[in-house]
Amino acid sequence: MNKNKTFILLYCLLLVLSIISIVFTCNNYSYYKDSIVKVIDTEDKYVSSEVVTYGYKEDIYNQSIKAKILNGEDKGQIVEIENEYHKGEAYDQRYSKGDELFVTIYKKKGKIDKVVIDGYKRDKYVVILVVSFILIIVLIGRIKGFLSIIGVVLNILIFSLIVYCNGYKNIDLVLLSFVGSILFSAISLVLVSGVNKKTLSAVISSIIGISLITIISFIVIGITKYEGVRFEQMELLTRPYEGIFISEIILGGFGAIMDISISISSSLNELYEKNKRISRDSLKKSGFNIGKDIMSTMINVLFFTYICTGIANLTIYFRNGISISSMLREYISLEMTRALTGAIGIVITIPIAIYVTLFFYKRRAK
Amino acid sequence: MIKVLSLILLVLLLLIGGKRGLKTFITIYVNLFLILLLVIICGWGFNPLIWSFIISLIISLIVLFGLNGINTKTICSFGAVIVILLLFFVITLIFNNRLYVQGYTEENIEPISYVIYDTGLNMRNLAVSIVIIGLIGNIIDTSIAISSALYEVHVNNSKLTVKELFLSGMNIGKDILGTTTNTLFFAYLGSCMTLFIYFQDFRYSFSTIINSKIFAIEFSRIMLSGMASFIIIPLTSIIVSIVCKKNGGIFEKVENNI
Repeated sequence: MNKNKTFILLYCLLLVLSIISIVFTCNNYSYYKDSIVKVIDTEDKYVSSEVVTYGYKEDIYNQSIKAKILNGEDKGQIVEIENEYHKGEAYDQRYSKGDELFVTIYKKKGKIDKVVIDGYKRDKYVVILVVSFILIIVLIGRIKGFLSIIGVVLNILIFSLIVYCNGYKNIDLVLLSFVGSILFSAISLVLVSGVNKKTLSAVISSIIGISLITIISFIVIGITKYEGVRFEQMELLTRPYEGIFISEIILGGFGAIMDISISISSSLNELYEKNKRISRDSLKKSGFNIGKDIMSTMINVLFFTYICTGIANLTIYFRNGISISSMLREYISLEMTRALTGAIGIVITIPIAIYVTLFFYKRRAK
Repeated sequence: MIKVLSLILLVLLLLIGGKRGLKTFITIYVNLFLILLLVIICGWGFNPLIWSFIISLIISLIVLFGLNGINTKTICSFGAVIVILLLFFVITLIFNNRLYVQGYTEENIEPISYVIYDTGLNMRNLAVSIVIIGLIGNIIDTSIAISSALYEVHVNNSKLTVKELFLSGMNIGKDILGTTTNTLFFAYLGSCMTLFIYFQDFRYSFSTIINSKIFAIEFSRIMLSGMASFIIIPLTSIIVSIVCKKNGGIFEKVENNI
């Protein structure tokens, strides 16, 4: 009961902190150098329709926005802004009352002449998302949820370090991701299951798994020379993207690989602790059974996580008259490559995790 | 390259998973087909909200009942998945209407010029269905993990009360929580790497990143699918405990008939 009370107390503290951070981001206008306005009134006027591809019609609207300046020297003044948008809002958007926007104010002889919208202020919603995520994970997972949050924060730090070292020190990204993933696995697995034998074997098997996946992707890339893969959004980068692509594959599948490793090593550990006389073969057999059980849904997790990013593009391409077969061949290739490599990683880690765990128990038995 | 990777995957799945491996492989491509179907339906101009719900239901039917068989565990999970889907449709709709994460930004537009992006399609609704499709895999995974573990507890110790069964479900959930967070986090990290390198190359400041649309698109997806897979833990536990205790035997009859 006492433990429960401490938890409730700490949770209330977290709740107060969350509310403070939300209130802060809702009122942080003076910390921004850019001018911020708040929309107080909008008026939409239909301008015209244009027939785009294949007879699809798109309506264009013009929006007159009345807004109040929230920071800077012109604070409190009411300005008028023009905003043109397409009904589908693919690029532009319709604003509504209460929205806060970043604007550039152009002046003529000290008077406000023209106000142009630069962007939308999203920070408070980002904070609300983070805060509700943390509150939910701690409420359901208690101390373990809290530890996972710490793990994520540490991993983000390592990730930023990787991006930083790559950008400023010109160290090879693939190498960095590989070294990074060793750190990632150590941190995350220790936080999830503590410092013990099963964590050690999970760390070792995920590192072996990730090395195999790296080797496999290098070989496949060597054979196929990226045939059929289109680096759609990566072409915006000002540097060669092959290395980035491989690092993305390494990191993307890594969470799933760790998940598989720790599940197998902790359940084999559990079986061994319950029955110390269990034979090597039956441990191995149970390991494969557990692996089979988790593998299919894990592969689905990766598949949907990756494939959903392609949906918007595919739908737009479809409306541009690109055929389904060429979509399958080309346009979904990046997402499919990630999903498939991740899936290979998951499957290949199952036997690795089993044999690594068994290796540790064999030595202990002697 | 995809053909080679698919082949490697198929061989590995057959070696390690046998018949179940083959099923998993087929499921991947059936799901891909369903996603393409959703794309075509949305492309024809039907409502993405309604159709992504229908497609998600079909996906969960296939993954739950096709891969794991029809039994008490999968029926309970299916119930939990439906509830979470409906809940997150509402939550995502609310958030997306405030975050404005529909459509494209200058960072993720394709540099080829012949694609027209304003095609009269409502991008706000499409953005919601993208989030929903992204989280369907997680919630099914978490829910089936909880319900099968909890069902084992129930079978091995049938004297537990509803409350005790629920609490042991929550205990199992705590273990799953950490690994789910990792899987999700790294999967998104993998798909966002390009983006972060882009931010660095173009010297985006912290406040620019936080307020940018492209960041919000990726970030809201991570957070919403994370939350969905956490909330489904207590939900599945409640459903399984109540079904096992109060309605004991109902689904076993269904099982026996099938």
